[in-house]
Amino acid sequence: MWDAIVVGGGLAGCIAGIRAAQRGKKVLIVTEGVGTLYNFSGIFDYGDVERLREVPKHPYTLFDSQAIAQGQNFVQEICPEYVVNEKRQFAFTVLGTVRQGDLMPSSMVLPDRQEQGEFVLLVPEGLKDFFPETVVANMAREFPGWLVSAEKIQVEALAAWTRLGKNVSSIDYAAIWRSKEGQKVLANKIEELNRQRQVAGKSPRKVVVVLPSLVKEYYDASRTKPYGNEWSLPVLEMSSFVPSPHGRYFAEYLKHRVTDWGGEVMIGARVLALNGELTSGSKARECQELIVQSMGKSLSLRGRKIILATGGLLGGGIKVGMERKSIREGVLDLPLFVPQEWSKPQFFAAQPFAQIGVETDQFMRPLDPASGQVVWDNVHVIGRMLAHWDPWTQKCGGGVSVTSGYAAAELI
Amino acid sequence: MREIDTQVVVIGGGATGVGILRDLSMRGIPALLLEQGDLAHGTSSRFHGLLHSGGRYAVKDDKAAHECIEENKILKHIAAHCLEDTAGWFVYLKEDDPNYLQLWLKGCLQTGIPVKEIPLEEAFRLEPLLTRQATRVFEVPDATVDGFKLLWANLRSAQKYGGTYQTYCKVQSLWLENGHVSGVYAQDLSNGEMLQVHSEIVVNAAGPWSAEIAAMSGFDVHILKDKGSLLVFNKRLFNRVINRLRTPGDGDIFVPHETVTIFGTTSTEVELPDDHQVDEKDVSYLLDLGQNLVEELEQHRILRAFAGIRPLYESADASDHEGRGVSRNFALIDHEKLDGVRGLVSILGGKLTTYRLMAEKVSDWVAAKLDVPAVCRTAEEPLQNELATEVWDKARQLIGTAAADKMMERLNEQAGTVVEAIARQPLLGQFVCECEMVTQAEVLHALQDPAVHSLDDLRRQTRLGMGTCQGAYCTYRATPMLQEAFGGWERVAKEYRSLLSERWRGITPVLWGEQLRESELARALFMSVLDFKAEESEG
Repeated sequence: MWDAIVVGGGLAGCIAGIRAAQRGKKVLIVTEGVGTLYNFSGIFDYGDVERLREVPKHPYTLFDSQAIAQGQNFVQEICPEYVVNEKRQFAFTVLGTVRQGDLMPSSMVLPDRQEQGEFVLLVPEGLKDFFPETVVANMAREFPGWLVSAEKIQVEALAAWTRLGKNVSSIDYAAIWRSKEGQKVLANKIEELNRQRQVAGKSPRKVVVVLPSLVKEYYDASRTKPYGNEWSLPVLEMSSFVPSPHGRYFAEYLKHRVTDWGGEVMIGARVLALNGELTSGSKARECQELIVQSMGKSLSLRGRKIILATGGLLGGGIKVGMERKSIREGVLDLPLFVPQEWSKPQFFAAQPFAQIGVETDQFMRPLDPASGQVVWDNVHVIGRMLAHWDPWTQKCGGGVSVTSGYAAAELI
Repeated sequence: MREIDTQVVVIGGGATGVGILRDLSMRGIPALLLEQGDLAHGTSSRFHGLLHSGGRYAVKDDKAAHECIEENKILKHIAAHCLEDTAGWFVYLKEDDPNYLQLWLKGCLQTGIPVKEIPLEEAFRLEPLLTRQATRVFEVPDATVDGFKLLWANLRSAQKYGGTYQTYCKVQSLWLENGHVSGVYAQDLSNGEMLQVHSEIVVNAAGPWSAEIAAMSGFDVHILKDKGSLLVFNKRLFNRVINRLRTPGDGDIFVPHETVTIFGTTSTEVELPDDHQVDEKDVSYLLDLGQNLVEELEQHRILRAFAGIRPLYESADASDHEGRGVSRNFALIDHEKLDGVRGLVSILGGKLTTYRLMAEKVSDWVAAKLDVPAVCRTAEEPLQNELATEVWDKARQLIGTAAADKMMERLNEQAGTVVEAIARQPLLGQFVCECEMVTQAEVLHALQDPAVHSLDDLRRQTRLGMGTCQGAYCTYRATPMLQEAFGGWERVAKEYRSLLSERWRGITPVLWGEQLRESELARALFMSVLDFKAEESEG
């Protein structure tokens, strides 16, 4: 018997699993894949928390500011590279435009515009989906008064490949920068840049090297070797496009954090059925057993708590059939809030369908929207499965997932 | 006001207008085509892409059927690279009318449409998704046609013979003098400049807009604007065109195109020539009908819905005003006979399959008026020359066979410069669009065309944004090229917004299943990863 079974191994599910394991609970994450973690840009958005807590039924209304701060601290605890500043902090998007971010790695945080420095954009040869001219132009526009230039950087191992016109994904380049050979190439390049600038004479300008596809975070000492040497110039990461190297290493790192604390992760597993019965004395039921399909076998798993973190529409936790004749939550068949109006005519508008999800009580237990009654006593719903929010227009995807995941783990 | 002098003005840049431009140009008659938007933005790109064998009209409209089979043969000869010779099946279901079957077989025989019966077992083997309710299957020489490719091929051929055109140029009024048309007044929508175009002849080939054009001078032409809605599935459900063998009706044609299948259509009379919005009711209606030909149609993913307006010709004495009842034939209206104005002709009705024939008839009329003895050669001269094998081989070497073949089909003779560019700079061979395998070099080439004013224009030339991602990835990937062509980040960001909004219009009527998921991903990419600002929705 597990203390908790977390269904879904995306951000919310992993945070719940890690925190539960850290608290000494026997926890298992059952997941089909890594959810949308591979789309993770490296930045957690919290949005305008105080304003969103005023929005009726928004997931933030389930939590007090202490719970939100706890989640945020937890991210910093497990990822020490993440910083929260008093001031608002900004990072480069992969296009070289500037975006705000609430929680991001310190090596992604942009310097102060007033400092009047110089950016040197290192462009890995053949990097896929990266447009140096656009990035340079955008950086120069965003940082008036700064010098911006671009320099190619080439890795011997890929030279023959890129000469043929083949591109290299940022996932592959990130792996190179994390290898010994890659580090050497990078260190040499940066030293060369530094020397050039020293030869050119004394300039009061601060020089910042910018390298897309660089991921300096998510090292766990037991498995991977972090950067040993510091570079002679500061090196700035850019937030990632998809498929995201930040997402890739972050997903791996989260999995390791779960298992390091004694939790277990079952990947490639799909919940087929469940068993549960009425709880005595109240109407809500208790889910006792999940039947899971994994590696061609069916397994029966028993848990005291079930945490549902299957990622909503994008993650695949909510399935919408043709003509919307069927709209289903895929694991427990929970009742869903479904908005009356489905979409807006403008693509970039707040879309009503984004509000779809499970309504819960303050303990994130699923409610029947019609009766307002809790339907499962020992189920907690977290992350994108919650109703009444839109991570993209409200910019609070990371915030809701981390906060609800952490809070659920506290309930186990 | 800018003044232009030509011999013939052709109004309308659809298949018919461009076909006329080619025909006139080949006869050595100077002509200028004016189009209010981009080429092919109307009916010529908003149809199922079926090159009719005539089978669909074999019972009710033998004249249309006959024209179709003749033009079908001609187009397979002159425009092979714009077609896929898939063949088409007429599928007779258990409950269908046996009398219609007999009439149909007789009609095909009389109009010369070759029909071959396919044994059921073989039919199910060749097309596994075909409904098991099928009892008899007949093959006819239907094919699929890419309306964009066909149009651009006609245009390039016309240009070679001296034909000229201007897009985003809207005709404001006809210039009439003493019972004779002397040209048109038009406005260049890209800069607001007024144009006075002097010509001896004006051809009104504006499709669903042709009534509006005629009405500018108070002339009345009867056009029935008949909206047809269609759905695009994300894969080839069939390898052949699948028709239902019954009286032509709604939702009975599946047409495979490249990697997708188009399914349609409906028939609703509308007021506006650009009423292209599909509503969810049309979608439900079509899906219900589609179940007759594909069991469990709901299992398949729909990318988008779109609609086009059939400009059906209605003669003044037509008693039948229903869309499907009106002839798919076309009519040439000499306004001298009708309205006493010399030099003005309207070409009305018809269908894409017969665009060339319509162009021939118009050009014959024009040539007669101008006393030009040259005869029509559009049925004999292919739209493209034999492509140089060296170019083809080199393209295959550089970007692979599948991508090279698709590119050669799109670019024909112009492929040489693109292949050269990739050879010089191999990274230009990277794909911008992975569905349609469009390279950076090809996008750069298309952007050099002065007629490409927007990302949406680029889409029509390259098929960028037409695949599964509906623009989410490929528009992003076109960034550096757009920036170079259009100048400045603000403009590029604006282009992203307008293309994604244009695609969104077609996605919202089918917003469920995997396409809904894909849309959430697109929103995440643009609004979170790339940090585009949200728009306040109106109302």
